[in-house]
Amino acid sequence: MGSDRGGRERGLLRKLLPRIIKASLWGFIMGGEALIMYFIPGVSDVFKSFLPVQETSFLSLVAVFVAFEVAIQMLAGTVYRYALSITRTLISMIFLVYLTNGGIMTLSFPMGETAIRIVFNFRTILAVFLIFSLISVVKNLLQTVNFLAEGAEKPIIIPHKDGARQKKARY
Amino acid sequence: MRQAIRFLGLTVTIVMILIGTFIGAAGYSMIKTLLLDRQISFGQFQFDASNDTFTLSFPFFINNTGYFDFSDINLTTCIRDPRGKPISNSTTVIQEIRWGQMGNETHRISLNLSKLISDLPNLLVEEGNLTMEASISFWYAHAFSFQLEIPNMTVPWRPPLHNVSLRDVSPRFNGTHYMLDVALGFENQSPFNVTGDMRLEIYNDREELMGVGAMSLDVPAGQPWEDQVEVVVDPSKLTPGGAVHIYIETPLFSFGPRVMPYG
Repeated sequence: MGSDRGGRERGLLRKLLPRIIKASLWGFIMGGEALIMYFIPGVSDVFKSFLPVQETSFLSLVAVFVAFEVAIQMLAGTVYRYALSITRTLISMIFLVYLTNGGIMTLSFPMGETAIRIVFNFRTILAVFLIFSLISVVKNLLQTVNFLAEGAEKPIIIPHKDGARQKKARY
Repeated sequence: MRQAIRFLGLTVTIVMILIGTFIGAAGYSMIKTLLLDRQISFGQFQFDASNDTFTLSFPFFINNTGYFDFSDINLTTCIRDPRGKPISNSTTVIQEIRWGQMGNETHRISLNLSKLISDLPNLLVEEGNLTMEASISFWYAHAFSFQLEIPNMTVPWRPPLHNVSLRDVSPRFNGTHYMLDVALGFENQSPFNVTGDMRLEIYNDREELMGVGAMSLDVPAGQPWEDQVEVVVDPSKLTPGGAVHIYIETPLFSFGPRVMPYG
């Protein structure tokens, strides 16, 4: 009994450990690089001056990204990963528009008594990004439908009482 | 279904990679042109005065050493008088500079001096500050637009008749006429020559006109001027004191009457 339980725990751990490592790695890739950029002295000041939002908003965005990526990797092989992917894409679209002030960023540099203002407009590129993010959402929806359809087509194996024989059923 | 998903995934990936590459290449290309090669420059300022308009002009050049086109290059300047009222708006546009090509244009800022001086006559004799707002905007690679704005730059105003004053008024008799020798002077601090006519009206202390004198002026930019005008006066009206009314007429501005008491 005790060795059975230990074996199950080991099996579960063997199943979960690669997922945890993969999730941590992807979480780091998805949010870590932005955070590294953000905390480099000198670079961070320029980086912060570009952001039309509060520092906490940017950090919370990165936290949301990391959390979504970890959850997606952990739930690989289930339908939830597609739902999370769609949600993440939609949130990232909204945040991207919000963070970039709709594709128009403004920088100010003091120069003597006055200040130079630089306005950078990249709405065209942002629009292309948003269109392809929407296509990505459509792709995730199709993947969800495909995943559910494949699940429905799989045979369900009902284990027999004594474990010697198994009954195959197809719905 | 799987084929469609694979196709969509591949399309999104390829397009995102292409956009990323395009942004990187355009960013590098623009930094190369503007910062590394420093291929945007401004030429010498030139001043020109004709009729009642004063024009400041300077050429600007863009040598597009990058890999994408500059388009809709727009240089705008707005000059405001000391009260903050706009007195000059100028815009210069270059439609397009293709990659590997060079573009140049001259930006002209015109000031209607007679209008400015009729609003603020003190600017002829007193220093002041004008403010200039400048902005340059352009599209790069037909995808990004940049606008650089410099608001509230102070432009010192140099008056053409700075410190115009009566230095001395002395009466004399030349054997036939009674005369007043009126010595006056000013400093032309402006960037244009003051060329025109000066007229003096001499009044006695009962405000009766005693005599009128005139002379022509040709004072180069940045030079002081001092001279003496001989005015024949009516001896019956001559009093120890009075006032000199100064009028100056040039193609750029009209000045006067400036009343200067003497005696």
